[in-house]
Parts: sequence; C-alpha cells; structure tokens
Amino acid sequence: MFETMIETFATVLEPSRILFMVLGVFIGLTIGFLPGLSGTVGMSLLLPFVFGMDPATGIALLIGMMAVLHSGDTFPSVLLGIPGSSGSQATIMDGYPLAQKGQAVRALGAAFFCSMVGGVIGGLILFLVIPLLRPLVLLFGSPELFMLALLGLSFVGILAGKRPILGILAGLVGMLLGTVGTAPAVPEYRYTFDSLYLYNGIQLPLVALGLFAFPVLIDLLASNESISRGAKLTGSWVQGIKDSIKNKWLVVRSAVLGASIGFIPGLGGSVVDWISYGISKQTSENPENFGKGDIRGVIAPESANNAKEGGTLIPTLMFGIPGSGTTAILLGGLILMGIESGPRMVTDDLPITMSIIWTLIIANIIGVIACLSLTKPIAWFSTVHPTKLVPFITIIIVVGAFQTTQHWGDILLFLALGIVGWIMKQLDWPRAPILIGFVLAMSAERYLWISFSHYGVEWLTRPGVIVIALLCIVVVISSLLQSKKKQSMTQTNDSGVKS
Amino acid sequence: MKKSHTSIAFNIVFLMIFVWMIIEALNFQEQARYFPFYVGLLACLLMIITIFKEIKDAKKKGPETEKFHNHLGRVIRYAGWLLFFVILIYIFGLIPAITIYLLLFLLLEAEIGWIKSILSTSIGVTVICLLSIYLDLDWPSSLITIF
Repeated sequence: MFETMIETFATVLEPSRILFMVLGVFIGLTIGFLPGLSGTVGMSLLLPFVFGMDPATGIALLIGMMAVLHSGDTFPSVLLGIPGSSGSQATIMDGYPLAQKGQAVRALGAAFFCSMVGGVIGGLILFLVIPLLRPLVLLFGSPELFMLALLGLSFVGILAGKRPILGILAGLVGMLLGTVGTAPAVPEYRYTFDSLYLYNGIQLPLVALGLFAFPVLIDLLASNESISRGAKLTGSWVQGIKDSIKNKWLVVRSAVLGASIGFIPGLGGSVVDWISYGISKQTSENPENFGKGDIRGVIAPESANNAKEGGTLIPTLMFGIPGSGTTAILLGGLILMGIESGPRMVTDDLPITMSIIWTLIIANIIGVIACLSLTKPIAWFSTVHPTKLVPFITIIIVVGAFQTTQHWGDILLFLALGIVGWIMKQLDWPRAPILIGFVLAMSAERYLWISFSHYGVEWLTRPGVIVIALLCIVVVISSLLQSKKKQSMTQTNDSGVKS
Repeated sequence: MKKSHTSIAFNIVFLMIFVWMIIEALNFQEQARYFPFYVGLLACLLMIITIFKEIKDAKKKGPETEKFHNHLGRVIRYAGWLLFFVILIYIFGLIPAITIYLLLFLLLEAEIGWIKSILSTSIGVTVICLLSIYLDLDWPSSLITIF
C-alpha cells in the first residue's frame, strides 16, 4: 500500500497533471467565489473534457476542482455574510461580524489555513480508513440515517441563541419549505400550485441566497456604510494562521468530524459546517462570544467543510453511492474514464484511489496558497462604499440565482424569499435554522418512510438509533440549559444596570 | 410602524400559512401527508404560543418606541432598484439590463462621474460575458431579445 502511495505521488506530480490540477483548482475557486453556483455546476462543466483522458489526469482536473470549492466560497461568506455554497453557511455566523470589525483579513487567513489543514486531514482519513470501511458504512441503515437527520435538527436550538422557540419554528419553516415538490414515497406533488417549476421543489441555493444575500444587499445600501463600517482593515492573514494554531485541537477535531460526517451519503455534505459550529459553540467555555465575531466560529466550520470532501469520497468510491450532486457527477466522470467504483478501488484500482487522495491533498495546498495571496486585495472590498459595490454584487447574485434551474422562477423565488428573509432579519428571527430544516427535510422524510416500511416500529430499538437518540437528547438539553443561562445572565445584567 | 406590531402581524401571516399547509396536506395521499401535516401542526402550535407571548410582552412593556426599521424609506428605494433591474432583464434581456441598471445606479446613487460610470459599466458587462463563456452560464429569457 505504501509503495503504491509513493508511486502515485510521483505520477500526480508530473507537470501535465499538475497543470490540469491547477486548472481544476482555478475553476473550483471561481465557482466557490460566486454565490449561487455549486460544485454540481463545476463538475458538469468539466465532465465533457475528461472523456478519453487517462485516469490520473482526469482525476487531477475533477478532484482539483472539487477539493477547493469550500475554500473559494469563504470570500462571500466572510466579506458579505452570504453563503458562497452549502458548505460555508456557518462561516457567516462569525466571519461576517469579524469583517464588520475590520478583521476580514484575519478571518480569511484563519479560514483558508483551516480549510487546508482540514482538506489534508480529510485526505489522510480517506487513506487510513480504506481497509475498515465496508462494515462501517453497512452499519448505517435508513433508521440511523433518519436519526442523524434529527441530530442535525437538534442543533437548531444552539443556533437560536436566546429565543429557542423561534429557532425551532425557523427549523420547522425550513422543513415545510423542503416539502414543496415531489413527495419521496409516492407520486404526489405538494404545494406546487400546479406549477411545473415547483414540481422539483425549491432549491437550496435559492433559499440561502434569498434569506442571506437579499437582506445584506438592502441593509448595506440602507445603512449607507461600508461592510467594515468605517473600521480600518486591521490584522493580517498571519494573525489568522496564529489563531488557528492556537486552536489546533479545535481544527483537528472539526476536521475529523467533517470527514466522519461527510461519509454518510446524502446527509453530511450540507450540514457538516453547522454541526461543527454547534459543537464548537456548545463545548466552548465562553459560548456567548459566538455570533459576535469569535474566530473559533470561523475555524470550526472551515476545518470541517474541506475535510468533508475526503469523507464524501468514501461511499462514492467504495460503494458507488454518491453523497451529493457533485459526487454523483464525479461518479459519471470516473465511468467516462473507464473506472468503476466499488471494492476494486482498494484492490486492483488502488493506484487510482491513491492518486485521488494525493490530488485532494495537493489541490488543497495550491488552492489555499492562491486564496491567501488574494486575501488582502479582496478584503479591501469590505471598505468600499455600498453604492459602489452592491450593484455589481446584485448582478452576480441575480445571475447566480438564475443558474439554479435556469428558469425565471428562480429569480422570482429569490426575490420572494429575500423579502421574507429581510423581514425575519429585522424581527430577529434566527435564519440559520431554516437552512438546516430545509436541507434535512427531504432526507428525514425519506428515511423515516423507508424505516417504517422496512422495519415497522422495530427500528426504534436498533442500537445505532438509540445511541444517536441519546446524543440528540444531550444536544437539546444542553442547548436549553445554555439558553436559560444566557437569559439569566441578561436579566442579571439588566437589573445591575437598573440598580 | 412599531417593531412589536410588525412582529405580531408577521407571525399571524405565518400562522395562516401553516394552517393552509395543514389543510392542504389533508388532501395528499397518506404517505405524502404525514410529514407536512405533523410538522405543520407543531409549527402552528409553537406559533400560537409565540404570538400570545408577544402580545403579553407588548402589553406588559406599554407603548413601544422601537421602530421596525430606521431607514424604511431607503429600504423601499433600494428594493425598488432591484425590482427595476429584474424588470429590465424581463423586458430587454440580461446584458442591456446590466448596462442600463449599472450606469443609472452609479450615476444617480453612487454619484460618480460619467467617465467612471461608463468604464465601470463596461467592466461589469465584460466580466459577466466572460464568466458566462468560461462557466457556460445561461441567461434569462426576455420579451425583446436584443443581445
């Protein structure tokens, strides 16, 4: 295995392959940078070119793009408070407040460094767990997957801060939005108003853009102040790296968590950053700083989201089960190059798997170097007056929203969700739980239905289900306790001020 | 417009939507019904609690001074600009819309000179064109296809 590893390392480093990897990295960064565009777009774009390529070169292109998607998307998340893609939703919670304090460069430096470390750890985990995988993946049946969806939802309370009921309500709103379109169990179209556009349901990029981008654009213009609110750009990306090294265990823990959750097909990808953020907040000694510009709120999700890519590749390569749209197209790309996923990937096709791991690691390093070198000039945008910046962002966002399904409905839905998101922002609704509820609605419903139809009520007694249920209870209780603690602290402060 | 009043009104609208979703769910096939029905039911329950709590809090606090938004006029103006851009896309197509919107916005709102506005607009249009070619992006259809 180690011999193969060294041989493939030399193959991956061949100049022609490095060139294709750099091309993939460049496309991945561009897609990540543009809000609304997802990895699926990037993969679809590259797929026609890999036909007939030798596997190592094609993999360099595809994995190079995939590896850095969540590095590029950090720019809009930190600078604008707009999630660049599903993997960087949680980064906005503390990244944007840091940018508002003039510390965008520091936040970006920490984010990119953690992305790189996370990506490398994800690759290493992929390498280490290959022999142990099969029994582990087979442990997860639909009951466990449903429970994992519930575990994701239980983090809603943590993100709701002082208003847990509104947080749960927001999560339920997200779940109801997720029920629009085709039902997973039967051919039934729900809440579609007989519109063909809604038959496929509402797409995640539109919900994210509507709830987060629209309010930011309008409020920036209305405030008449730049993102950094006149604060000068302080700190450097070196400071961000120092912060990350200071929180090294958080980086490692989040990365391991990201890779572990990432390997659960159809679930981990979109919530891994939230789970990592939630756990980091919950286990922190001073969680009250989260959401106000705490660098740990950037480190945790960014370490997890790149590490996740290593995890998502596990079921894709070993069992041919794609965990997301991006990996589904990657699977198609591998077939085009004559590679069939399955147990052969760890026997006869081991060099291919190794070249994937190396590409993942090297692409992450190249991507982060590129991002770090761009940090300072791009962070300068946070000091530009909104009337000179927002019209350009508006155009990119409207064009990005349209790419979701290339239908006029995308733009109209973006506007409608945007108005709702803006009102919610003014009324202090926690909007992050909506995204979590939305992301998990479809999988929760599907796995619940499969669980009941396959196992009746007996699935409730499975050991995996019980363990995850206990975890859910722990999360909910501790978030309620945190919320109570916060309320009592606020009351004490208020009475202190009054007296 | 006071914040607490707006909040209560917004929650009532949501409550009505939840009720409609529950009623609508009753018409779905059984396997498609239970998830939106029970989620909607729980949402309704929590929303009723929230509304009552907000009304109680509002009565307790007395007359409120906090406004819903300090610059509502500006918000409406800029939302109007965004709507104007979308209407322009619908009528003329993406590239003419970007040209008109950017030029007018930069001249009227950013108050920068003609030369800078034209230059910035040209850069904006070029970037979108290049991105469209590079990433194979689709543009929205329009009533009048100019470009």
